[in-house]
Amino acid sequence: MQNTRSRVEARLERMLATTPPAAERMAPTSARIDLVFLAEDDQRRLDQSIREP
Amino acid sequence: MNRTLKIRSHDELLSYLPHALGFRRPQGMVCMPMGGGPISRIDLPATAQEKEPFLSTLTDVYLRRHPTQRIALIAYGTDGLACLEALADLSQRLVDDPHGPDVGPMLWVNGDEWFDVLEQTTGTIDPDVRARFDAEFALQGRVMPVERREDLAAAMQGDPAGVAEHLAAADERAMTMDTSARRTEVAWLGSTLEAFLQDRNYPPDPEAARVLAILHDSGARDAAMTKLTRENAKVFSEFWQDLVRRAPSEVRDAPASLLALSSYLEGDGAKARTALDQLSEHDQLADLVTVALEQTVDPKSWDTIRPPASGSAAMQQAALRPTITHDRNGPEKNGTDTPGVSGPDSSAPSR
Repeated sequence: MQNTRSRVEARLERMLATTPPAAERMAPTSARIDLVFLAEDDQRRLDQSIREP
Repeated sequence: MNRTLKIRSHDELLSYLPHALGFRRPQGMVCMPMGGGPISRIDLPATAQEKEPFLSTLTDVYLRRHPTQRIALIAYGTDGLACLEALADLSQRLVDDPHGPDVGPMLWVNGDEWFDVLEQTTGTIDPDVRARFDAEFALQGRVMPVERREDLAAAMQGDPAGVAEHLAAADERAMTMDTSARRTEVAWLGSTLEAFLQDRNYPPDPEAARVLAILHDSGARDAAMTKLTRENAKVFSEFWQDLVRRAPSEVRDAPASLLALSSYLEGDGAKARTALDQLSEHDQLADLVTVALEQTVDPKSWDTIRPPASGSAAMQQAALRPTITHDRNGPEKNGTDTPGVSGPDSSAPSR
Protein backbone atom coordinates (compact mmCIF):
# COMPACT_ATOMS: atom_id res chain seq x y z
CA MET A 1 0.00 0.00 0.00
CA GLN A 2 1.23 3.47 -0.74
CA ASN A 3 2.85 5.74 1.82
CA THR A 4 0.64 8.79 1.30
CA ARG A 5 -1.55 9.39 4.34
CA SER A 6 -5.17 8.99 3.33
CA ARG A 7 -7.94 11.13 4.81
CA VAL A 8 -9.16 8.19 6.87
CA GLU A 9 -5.70 7.69 8.30
CA ALA A 10 -5.25 11.41 8.91
CA ARG A 11 -8.58 11.54 10.74
CA LEU A 12 -7.66 8.60 12.95
CA GLU A 13 -4.27 10.15 13.60
CA ARG A 14 -5.96 13.37 14.74
CA MET A 15 -8.16 11.39 17.07
CA LEU A 16 -5.18 9.64 18.60
CA ALA A 17 -3.38 12.95 19.00
CA THR A 18 -6.09 14.12 21.38
CA THR A 19 -5.44 11.16 23.68
CA PRO A 20 -2.67 11.30 26.27
CA PRO A 21 0.05 8.68 25.95
CA ALA A 22 -0.19 5.51 27.96
CA ALA A 23 1.02 5.65 31.51
CA GLU A 24 4.49 4.28 31.90
CA ARG A 25 4.22 0.64 32.73
CA MET A 26 6.58 -1.37 34.86
CA ALA A 27 6.95 -4.07 32.26
CA PRO A 28 8.45 -3.41 28.85
CA THR A 29 5.37 -4.76 27.13
CA SER A 30 1.77 -4.49 28.12
CA ALA A 31 -0.61 -7.40 28.05
CA ARG A 32 -2.99 -7.75 25.16
CA ILE A 33 -6.43 -6.58 26.17
CA ASP A 34 -9.82 -6.73 24.44
CA LEU A 35 -11.96 -3.68 25.15
CA VAL A 36 -15.64 -3.20 24.46
CA PHE A 37 -16.86 0.36 24.19
CA LEU A 38 -20.65 0.20 24.16
CA ALA A 39 -22.62 2.45 21.88
CA GLU A 40 -24.23 5.38 23.65
CA ASP A 41 -27.71 3.82 23.70
CA ASP A 42 -26.41 0.45 24.86
CA GLN A 43 -24.45 2.09 27.63
CA ARG A 44 -27.48 4.02 28.79
CA ARG A 45 -29.62 0.89 28.81
CA LEU A 46 -26.95 -1.00 30.68
CA ASP A 47 -26.74 1.76 33.27
CA GLN A 48 -30.52 1.57 33.71
CA SER A 49 -30.52 -2.19 33.96
CA ILE A 50 -27.96 -2.35 36.77
CA ARG A 51 -29.74 0.22 38.92
CA GLU A 52 -31.72 -1.11 41.76
CA PRO A 53 -35.45 -1.49 40.89
CA MET B 1 -30.49 -4.42 25.46
CA ASN B 2 -34.11 -3.99 26.33
CA ARG B 3 -34.89 -1.90 29.37
CA THR B 4 -37.10 -4.70 30.71
CA LEU B 5 -33.90 -6.61 31.38
CA LYS B 6 -32.30 -6.09 34.75
CA ILE B 7 -28.90 -7.12 35.95
CA ARG B 8 -29.57 -7.87 39.60
CA SER B 9 -28.08 -11.32 39.91
CA HIS B 10 -24.94 -13.15 38.95
CA ASP B 11 -26.94 -15.20 36.46
CA GLU B 12 -28.07 -12.03 34.73
CA LEU B 13 -24.61 -10.51 34.75
CA LEU B 14 -23.08 -13.69 33.32
CA SER B 15 -25.86 -13.96 30.74
CA TYR B 16 -25.33 -10.38 29.63
CA LEU B 17 -21.55 -10.42 29.26
CA PRO B 18 -21.33 -12.76 26.23
CA HIS B 19 -23.47 -10.32 24.28
CA ALA B 20 -21.16 -7.45 25.16
CA LEU B 21 -17.98 -9.41 24.47
CA GLY B 22 -19.17 -11.20 21.34
CA PHE B 23 -18.34 -14.71 22.58
CA ARG B 24 -20.04 -17.01 25.06
CA ARG B 25 -17.16 -18.68 26.78
CA PRO B 26 -14.47 -16.13 27.46
CA GLN B 27 -11.26 -17.16 29.16
CA GLY B 28 -9.26 -14.90 31.45
CA MET B 29 -10.27 -11.83 33.41
CA VAL B 30 -13.33 -9.83 32.43
CA CYS B 31 -13.82 -6.41 34.04
CA MET B 32 -17.18 -4.75 33.86
CA PRO B 33 -17.39 -1.18 35.16
CA MET B 34 -20.74 -0.10 36.53
CA GLY B 35 -21.70 3.30 35.26
CA GLY B 36 -19.60 3.77 32.15
CA GLY B 37 -16.22 2.86 30.77
CA PRO B 38 -15.08 -0.04 28.62
CA ILE B 39 -15.69 -3.67 29.44
CA SER B 40 -12.43 -5.56 29.12
CA ARG B 41 -11.11 -9.10 28.73
CA ILE B 42 -7.52 -10.12 29.16
CA ASP B 43 -5.69 -13.43 29.49
CA LEU B 44 -4.69 -14.41 32.99
CA PRO B 45 -0.94 -14.26 33.61
CA ALA B 46 0.56 -17.63 32.73
CA THR B 47 3.88 -16.91 34.46
CA ALA B 48 5.14 -14.72 37.28
CA GLN B 49 6.70 -12.42 34.68
CA GLU B 50 3.31 -11.81 33.09
CA LYS B 51 1.65 -10.80 36.34
CA GLU B 52 2.81 -7.20 36.38
CA PRO B 53 1.88 -6.46 32.74
CA PHE B 54 -1.53 -8.00 33.48
CA LEU B 55 -2.07 -5.76 36.49
CA SER B 56 -0.59 -2.58 35.06
CA THR B 57 -2.56 -2.90 31.84
CA LEU B 58 -5.85 -3.13 33.73
CA THR B 59 -5.01 -0.45 36.29
CA ASP B 60 -3.95 1.86 33.48
CA VAL B 61 -7.42 1.41 32.00
CA TYR B 62 -9.51 1.71 35.16
CA LEU B 63 -7.44 4.04 37.34
CA ARG B 64 -6.17 6.46 34.73
CA ARG B 65 -7.77 6.29 31.31
CA HIS B 66 -11.33 5.30 32.15
CA PRO B 67 -11.87 5.73 35.90
CA THR B 68 -15.03 4.23 37.27
CA GLN B 69 -16.80 4.17 40.62
CA ARG B 70 -17.53 0.47 40.79
CA ILE B 71 -16.31 -2.54 38.89
CA ALA B 72 -17.21 -6.22 38.71
CA LEU B 73 -14.35 -8.68 38.25
CA ILE B 74 -15.03 -12.07 36.70
CA ALA B 75 -12.25 -14.60 36.22
CA TYR B 76 -13.14 -17.32 33.72
CA GLY B 77 -11.16 -20.55 33.68
CA THR B 78 -10.75 -24.07 34.90
CA ASP B 79 -7.69 -23.29 37.03
CA GLY B 80 -9.29 -22.12 40.25
CA LEU B 81 -6.06 -21.12 41.93
CA ALA B 82 -4.94 -18.97 39.01
CA CYS B 83 -8.37 -17.32 38.80
CA LEU B 84 -8.56 -16.60 42.52
CA GLU B 85 -5.01 -15.23 42.65
CA ALA B 86 -5.69 -12.95 39.73
CA LEU B 87 -8.90 -11.71 41.33
CA ALA B 88 -7.13 -11.05 44.62
CA ASP B 89 -4.17 -9.27 43.04
CA LEU B 90 -6.27 -7.09 40.76
CA SER B 91 -8.83 -6.13 43.38
CA GLN B 92 -6.07 -5.26 45.81
CA ARG B 93 -4.35 -3.05 43.26
CA LEU B 94 -7.61 -1.27 42.43
CA VAL B 95 -8.83 -0.63 45.98
CA ASP B 96 -5.38 0.39 47.21
CA ASP B 97 -5.44 3.37 44.89
CA PRO B 98 -6.97 6.42 46.62
CA HIS B 99 -9.07 7.07 43.52
CA GLY B 100 -9.78 3.43 42.81
CA PRO B 101 -13.27 1.99 42.34
CA ASP B 102 -15.30 -0.14 44.69
CA VAL B 103 -14.88 -3.74 43.61
CA GLY B 104 -17.68 -6.25 43.46
CA PRO B 105 -18.93 -8.71 42.72
CA MET B 106 -15.81 -10.85 42.28
CA LEU B 107 -16.60 -14.12 40.57
CA TRP B 108 -14.70 -17.18 39.45
CA VAL B 109 -16.58 -18.84 36.58
CA ASN B 110 -15.82 -22.37 35.48
CA GLY B 111 -18.15 -23.44 32.71
CA ASP B 112 -21.65 -22.74 33.96
CA GLU B 113 -20.61 -22.73 37.61
CA TRP B 114 -19.79 -19.54 39.47
CA PHE B 115 -18.21 -18.84 42.83
CA ASP B 116 -18.64 -15.48 44.54
CA VAL B 117 -15.34 -14.73 46.27
CA LEU B 118 -16.71 -11.97 48.51
CA GLU B 119 -19.96 -13.64 49.51
CA GLN B 120 -18.55 -17.19 49.52
CA THR B 121 -21.55 -18.46 47.56
CA THR B 122 -21.78 -20.70 44.53
CA GLY B 123 -24.32 -21.29 41.81
CA THR B 124 -25.01 -22.42 38.27
CA ILE B 125 -26.06 -20.07 35.51
CA ASP B 126 -29.79 -20.51 35.03
CA PRO B 127 -30.41 -21.58 31.41
CA ASP B 128 -33.76 -19.77 31.46
CA VAL B 129 -32.05 -16.49 32.33
CA ARG B 130 -29.51 -17.03 29.57
CA ALA B 131 -32.28 -17.82 27.10
CA ARG B 132 -34.13 -14.66 28.12
CA PHE B 133 -31.09 -12.50 27.42
CA ASP B 134 -30.47 -14.28 24.12
CA ALA B 135 -34.07 -13.67 23.10
CA GLU B 136 -33.93 -9.99 24.00
CA PHE B 137 -30.79 -9.43 21.97
CA ALA B 138 -32.15 -11.48 19.08
CA LEU B 139 -35.28 -9.34 19.05
CA GLN B 140 -33.06 -6.32 18.59
CA GLY B 141 -31.52 -7.96 15.54
CA ARG B 142 -28.17 -8.46 17.22
CA VAL B 143 -25.80 -11.12 16.01
CA MET B 144 -25.54 -13.92 18.54
CA PRO B 145 -22.15 -14.35 20.20
CA VAL B 146 -19.79 -16.98 18.83
CA GLU B 147 -18.83 -19.76 21.21
CA ARG B 148 -15.20 -18.83 21.87
CA ARG B 149 -12.94 -15.89 21.12
CA GLU B 150 -10.96 -18.08 18.72
CA ASP B 151 -14.10 -18.44 16.61
CA LEU B 152 -13.84 -14.77 15.65
CA ALA B 153 -10.84 -15.66 13.49
CA ALA B 154 -12.60 -18.65 11.99
CA ALA B 155 -15.46 -16.37 10.98
CA MET B 156 -12.99 -14.37 8.89
CA GLN B 157 -11.94 -17.39 6.85
CA GLY B 158 -13.93 -18.28 3.77
CA ASP B 159 -13.68 -19.60 0.25
CA PRO B 160 -11.86 -17.19 -2.09
CA ALA B 161 -12.42 -19.26 -5.22
CA GLY B 162 -15.38 -17.30 -6.54
CA VAL B 163 -13.71 -13.90 -6.29
CA ALA B 164 -10.37 -15.28 -7.47
CA GLU B 165 -11.93 -16.14 -10.82
CA HIS B 166 -12.53 -12.45 -11.47
CA LEU B 167 -9.58 -10.86 -9.71
CA ALA B 168 -7.03 -10.92 -12.53
CA ALA B 169 -9.43 -9.19 -14.87
CA ALA B 170 -10.40 -6.66 -12.21
CA ASP B 171 -6.75 -5.96 -11.48
CA GLU B 172 -5.97 -5.49 -15.13
CA ARG B 173 -8.84 -3.11 -15.52
CA ALA B 174 -7.86 -1.09 -12.42
CA MET B 175 -4.23 -0.83 -13.44
CA THR B 176 -5.04 0.63 -16.82
CA MET B 177 -7.36 3.36 -15.55
CA ASP B 178 -6.54 6.97 -16.20
CA THR B 179 -7.40 9.70 -13.70
CA SER B 180 -10.93 10.16 -14.98
CA ALA B 181 -11.71 6.47 -14.95
CA ARG B 182 -10.22 6.14 -11.51
CA ARG B 183 -12.38 8.96 -10.22
CA THR B 184 -15.43 7.21 -11.63
CA GLU B 185 -14.36 3.96 -10.03
CA VAL B 186 -13.85 5.61 -6.66
CA ALA B 187 -17.32 7.12 -6.88
CA TRP B 188 -18.72 3.69 -7.74
CA LEU B 189 -17.10 2.24 -4.64
CA GLY B 190 -18.63 4.95 -2.48
CA SER B 191 -22.07 4.28 -3.91
CA THR B 192 -21.60 0.53 -3.44
CA LEU B 193 -20.95 1.09 0.26
CA GLU B 194 -23.94 3.40 0.53
CA ALA B 195 -26.15 0.79 -1.10
CA PHE B 196 -24.93 -1.83 1.33
CA LEU B 197 -25.78 0.43 4.24
CA GLN B 198 -29.34 0.42 2.94
CA ASP B 199 -29.94 -3.13 1.75
CA ARG B 200 -27.16 -5.25 3.34
CA ASN B 201 -26.80 -7.22 0.10
CA TYR B 202 -23.25 -8.50 -0.32
CA PRO B 203 -21.68 -7.84 -3.71
CA PRO B 204 -21.51 -10.75 -6.14
CA ASP B 205 -18.08 -12.14 -7.02
CA PRO B 206 -17.28 -9.85 -10.01
CA GLU B 207 -18.12 -6.73 -7.99
CA ALA B 208 -16.26 -8.00 -4.96
CA ALA B 209 -13.19 -8.44 -7.16
CA ARG B 210 -13.69 -4.93 -8.50
CA VAL B 211 -13.79 -3.53 -4.94
CA LEU B 212 -10.64 -5.41 -3.98
CA ALA B 213 -8.83 -4.23 -7.10
CA ILE B 214 -9.40 -0.56 -6.34
CA LEU B 215 -8.80 -0.67 -2.58
CA HIS B 216 -5.07 -0.14 -2.91
CA ASP B 217 -5.87 3.42 -3.90
CA SER B 218 -5.98 5.69 -0.86
CA GLY B 219 -8.64 7.81 -2.54
CA ALA B 220 -10.77 4.72 -2.89
CA ARG B 221 -10.35 3.85 0.74
CA ASP B 222 -11.33 7.39 1.68
CA ALA B 223 -14.43 7.16 -0.48
CA ALA B 224 -15.25 3.80 1.04
CA MET B 225 -15.10 5.15 4.57
CA THR B 226 -16.57 8.63 4.08
CA LYS B 227 -19.88 7.61 5.63
CA LEU B 228 -18.34 5.61 8.46
CA THR B 229 -19.66 6.61 11.88
CA ARG B 230 -19.78 4.89 15.24
CA GLU B 231 -23.46 4.18 14.70
CA ASN B 232 -23.09 2.43 11.34
CA ALA B 233 -19.65 0.94 11.95
CA LYS B 234 -21.22 -2.45 12.66
CA VAL B 235 -22.73 -2.54 9.17
CA PHE B 236 -19.41 -1.50 7.61
CA SER B 237 -17.81 -4.34 9.54
CA GLU B 238 -20.26 -6.80 8.00
CA PHE B 239 -19.27 -5.59 4.52
CA TRP B 240 -15.51 -5.77 5.12
CA GLN B 241 -15.69 -9.06 6.98
CA ASP B 242 -17.50 -10.59 4.03
CA LEU B 243 -14.73 -9.37 1.73
CA VAL B 244 -12.01 -10.64 4.07
CA ARG B 245 -13.70 -14.04 3.94
CA ARG B 246 -13.86 -14.08 0.14
CA ALA B 247 -10.64 -12.29 -0.78
CA PRO B 248 -7.72 -14.25 -2.22
CA SER B 249 -4.68 -13.96 0.02
CA GLU B 250 -2.84 -11.42 -2.15
CA VAL B 251 -5.61 -8.82 -1.73
CA ARG B 252 -6.82 -9.68 1.76
CA ASP B 253 -4.85 -7.09 3.70
CA ALA B 254 -6.77 -4.01 2.53
CA PRO B 255 -10.24 -5.20 3.59
CA ALA B 256 -8.75 -6.62 6.79
CA SER B 257 -7.36 -3.18 7.68
CA LEU B 258 -10.71 -1.58 6.99
CA LEU B 259 -12.45 -4.27 9.03
CA ALA B 260 -10.07 -3.54 11.89
CA LEU B 261 -10.98 0.15 11.72
CA SER B 262 -14.74 -0.37 11.56
CA SER B 263 -14.61 -3.01 14.31
CA TYR B 264 -12.64 -0.65 16.52
CA LEU B 265 -15.12 2.15 15.87
CA GLU B 266 -18.10 -0.07 16.69
CA GLY B 267 -16.35 -0.68 20.00
CA ASP B 268 -15.44 -4.33 19.42
CA GLY B 269 -11.79 -4.54 20.37
CA ALA B 270 -11.57 -8.33 20.11
CA LYS B 271 -12.83 -8.31 16.53
CA ALA B 272 -10.53 -5.41 15.64
CA ARG B 273 -7.52 -7.30 16.99
CA THR B 274 -8.59 -10.45 15.19
CA ALA B 275 -8.87 -8.51 11.93
CA LEU B 276 -5.37 -7.13 12.46
CA ASP B 277 -4.15 -10.69 12.99
CA GLN B 278 -5.35 -11.51 9.47
CA LEU B 279 -2.88 -9.09 7.91
CA SER B 280 0.21 -10.47 6.22
CA GLU B 281 1.83 -7.06 6.66
CA HIS B 282 0.68 -3.98 8.54
CA ASP B 283 -0.09 -0.85 6.55
CA GLN B 284 -0.42 2.68 7.96
CA LEU B 285 -4.08 2.27 8.80
CA ALA B 286 -3.44 -1.00 10.62
CA ASP B 287 -0.64 0.65 12.60
CA LEU B 288 -2.96 3.45 13.66
CA VAL B 289 -5.74 1.08 14.70
CA THR B 290 -3.16 -0.89 16.69
CA VAL B 291 -2.14 2.28 18.52
CA ALA B 292 -5.79 3.10 19.23
CA LEU B 293 -6.32 -0.36 20.72
CA GLU B 294 -3.13 -0.30 22.75
CA GLN B 295 -3.85 3.19 24.06
CA THR B 296 -7.44 2.09 24.85
CA VAL B 297 -8.78 5.15 23.07
CA ASP B 298 -12.56 5.52 23.28
CA PRO B 299 -13.81 5.56 19.67
CA LYS B 300 -16.67 7.91 20.48
CA SER B 301 -14.59 10.92 19.49
CA TRP B 302 -14.37 9.65 15.88
CA ASP B 303 -17.63 11.33 14.97
CA THR B 304 -16.50 14.68 16.36
CA ILE B 305 -13.08 14.70 14.70
CA ARG B 306 -13.40 16.44 11.40
CA PRO B 307 -11.73 14.71 8.48
CA PRO B 308 -9.03 16.72 6.72
CA ALA B 309 -10.42 19.11 4.13
CA SER B 310 -11.11 17.32 0.90
CA GLY B 311 -10.18 20.45 -1.00
CA SER B 312 -6.53 20.03 -0.22
CA ALA B 313 -4.83 20.04 -3.57
CA ALA B 314 -2.02 17.85 -2.41
CA MET B 315 -4.42 15.35 -0.88
CA GLN B 316 -6.58 15.30 -3.98
CA GLN B 317 -3.57 14.73 -6.14
CA ALA B 318 -2.46 11.95 -3.87
CA ALA B 319 -5.91 10.42 -3.86
CA LEU B 320 -6.19 10.41 -7.62
CA ARG B 321 -2.65 9.37 -8.37
CA PRO B 322 -2.51 5.90 -9.86
CA THR B 323 -1.12 3.89 -6.99
CA ILE B 324 -2.11 0.34 -7.68
CA THR B 325 0.89 -1.81 -7.09
CA HIS B 326 1.86 -4.43 -9.61
CA ASP B 327 3.47 -6.88 -7.29
CA ARG B 328 0.77 -9.48 -7.19
CA ASN B 329 1.58 -12.92 -8.36
CA GLY B 330 -1.19 -13.17 -10.88
CA PRO B 331 -0.96 -14.63 -14.34
CA GLU B 332 0.55 -12.60 -17.15
CA LYS B 333 -2.01 -10.30 -18.70
CA ASN B 334 -2.41 -10.35 -22.46
CA GLY B 335 -4.21 -7.59 -24.31
CA THR B 336 -6.95 -5.43 -22.91
CA ASP B 337 -9.77 -7.91 -22.88
CA THR B 338 -11.02 -8.23 -19.30
CA PRO B 339 -13.96 -10.59 -19.30
CA GLY B 340 -15.90 -11.13 -16.13
CA VAL B 341 -15.52 -7.63 -14.71
CA SER B 342 -18.49 -5.37 -14.70
CA GLY B 343 -18.33 -1.59 -14.69
CA PRO B 344 -17.44 1.15 -17.12
CA ASP B 345 -14.55 0.61 -19.48
CA SER B 346 -11.25 1.89 -18.30
CA SER B 347 -9.50 4.55 -20.32
CA ALA B 348 -6.09 4.40 -21.81
CA PRO B 349 -3.20 3.41 -19.56
CA SER B 350 -1.88 6.33 -17.62
CA ARG B 351 1.73 5.40 -17.76
